[in-house]
Amino acid sequence: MGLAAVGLLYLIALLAPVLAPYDPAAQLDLVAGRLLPASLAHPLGTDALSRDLLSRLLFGARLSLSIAALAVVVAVTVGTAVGLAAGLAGGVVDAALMRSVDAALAIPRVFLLIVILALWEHGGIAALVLVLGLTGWFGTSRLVRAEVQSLKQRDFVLAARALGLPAWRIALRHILPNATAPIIVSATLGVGNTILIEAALSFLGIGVRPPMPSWGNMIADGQAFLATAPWQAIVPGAAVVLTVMTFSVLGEALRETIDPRTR
Amino acid sequence: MKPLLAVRDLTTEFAMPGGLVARAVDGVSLDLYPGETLALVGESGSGKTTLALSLLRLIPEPPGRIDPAGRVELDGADILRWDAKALRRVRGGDLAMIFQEPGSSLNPVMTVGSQITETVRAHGQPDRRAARRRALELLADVGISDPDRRLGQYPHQLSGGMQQRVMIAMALAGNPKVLIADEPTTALDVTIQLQILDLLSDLQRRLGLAVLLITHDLGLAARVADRVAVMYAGRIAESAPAARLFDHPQHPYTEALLHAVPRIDRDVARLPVVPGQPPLATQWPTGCRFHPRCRHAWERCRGAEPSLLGTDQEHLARCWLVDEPARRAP
Repeated sequence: MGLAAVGLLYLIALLAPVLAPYDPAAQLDLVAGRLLPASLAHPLGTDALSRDLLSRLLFGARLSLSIAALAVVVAVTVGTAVGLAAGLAGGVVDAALMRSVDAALAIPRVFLLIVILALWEHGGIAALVLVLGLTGWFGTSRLVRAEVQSLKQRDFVLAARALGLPAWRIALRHILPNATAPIIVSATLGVGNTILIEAALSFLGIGVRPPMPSWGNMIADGQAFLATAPWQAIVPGAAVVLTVMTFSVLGEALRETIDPRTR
Repeated sequence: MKPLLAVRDLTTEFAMPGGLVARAVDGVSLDLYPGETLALVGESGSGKTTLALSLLRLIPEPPGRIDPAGRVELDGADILRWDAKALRRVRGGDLAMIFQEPGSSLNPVMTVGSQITETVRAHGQPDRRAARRRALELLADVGISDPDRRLGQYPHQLSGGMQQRVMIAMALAGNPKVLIADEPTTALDVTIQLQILDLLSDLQRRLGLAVLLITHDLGLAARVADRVAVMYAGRIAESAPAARLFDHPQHPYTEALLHAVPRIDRDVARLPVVPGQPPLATQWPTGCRFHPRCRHAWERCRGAEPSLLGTDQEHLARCWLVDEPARRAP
């Protein structure tokens, strides 16, 4: 069920240009069309600059979901590589990598992101993805390392060594595939988390910047009108909550089905 | 005849927490001749498996350490001196090994076919289609029916006996001269045990393999072995041709082990056991390592450890009784 919901979310995001009734950046009627409540013409109303809220929400989904997915791809790739290297090498390499991860984890991620993004002002979406990805792999690397450490004690790894298979082959074909289940689960939960962080950054004005719509900056736009037009902030806020919940549900469901330790 | 595999003074130690050193294998020498089956028997903790893993340099180092004074010569070349690349070629090549638990020795997320072809391709058959053909041959060789279908299956879809057959097929992929079988049937049902043993004997005859069979099961050793070496406390206690060892054991430990085998034709209230506990590898007893559990022991056994003694080279026992048979307790 979680899978279907996430699939639906991505489908909506993908089809945003088709589904959206208006151009998300078009200011339709600055004189009479500002902060309109929901109507047939504008199912979710319009914002303070007379832009169609539904169209902005759909395009925002497109951006939020792709940024989160790409950032998680970066994070999981780096985290898996580091975790595999640390778990297999052991000794000094392992200690150096894991102490660096500990140090990085000691810095609150949001502050780190704010500092980097404030300094790297003109990086655009690519910078946002990269920075989110490169600050998000620490947990994955720990997880993969622990998994690799236990897998390399397993009989089939000893058997593979006794059969004379090369070390890289044992690492990539015997150890890594057996660690995919927890990696997929943590990646799924990571997407939800990243959407939340991206929304927070956009809310603060340093994530996705106007005029591009993102749920975070839509909430920021809407907060001025909480008393007069509360839906301006509530609609994108609800979208964030629903999406993050969907990913949590999917992550938990995956954990139960593919992670053997919870059975 | 020259031995195919000659082990000389092999010593493997493990560094334990607290600065202790466990000398799990202590100065073991063995010869394995072409085409023969040598059974290495002993209790848990006697060092059998450590010895087998040391032969392939599969001991984790550290904490393990193989004393560089020892030698493991395959066709006259000392494989303990080889570099990682040469070792990789000999593992699963000339020297193959199968393990106790076939279920956990196969990778659960790879099909049987890809595991076998992977081994075939690691040993000089890089072509994918030829490797697949070879995998089919190997499966047929180890008596698996419908090999075409089995190739696409995962290990959990096979029975324990079938899994062990697959492991044997993989071990044969590199055309080994020596097969080390570490308790190959312990995890299997009794009826399946016999099938696997028959398969091993059959393969040995057909391929001229030398087999080092590691087991705690004397009945199994009696059934298939040409020669038997009894291991106790990291050392060889006695070695002899199988029939001589079972009919005329010389070492009191071998005697006690044979006595402890349950017999269907003897009705006893209590199963006889070897008295006492096996010693710890961190503190082997001084003198003869068996003396604290031996009913014949006298001062000489406490003071000095005998070397392997015997009236002829075929039957050797590490026991002073060989020297002084009159000391044998009634």
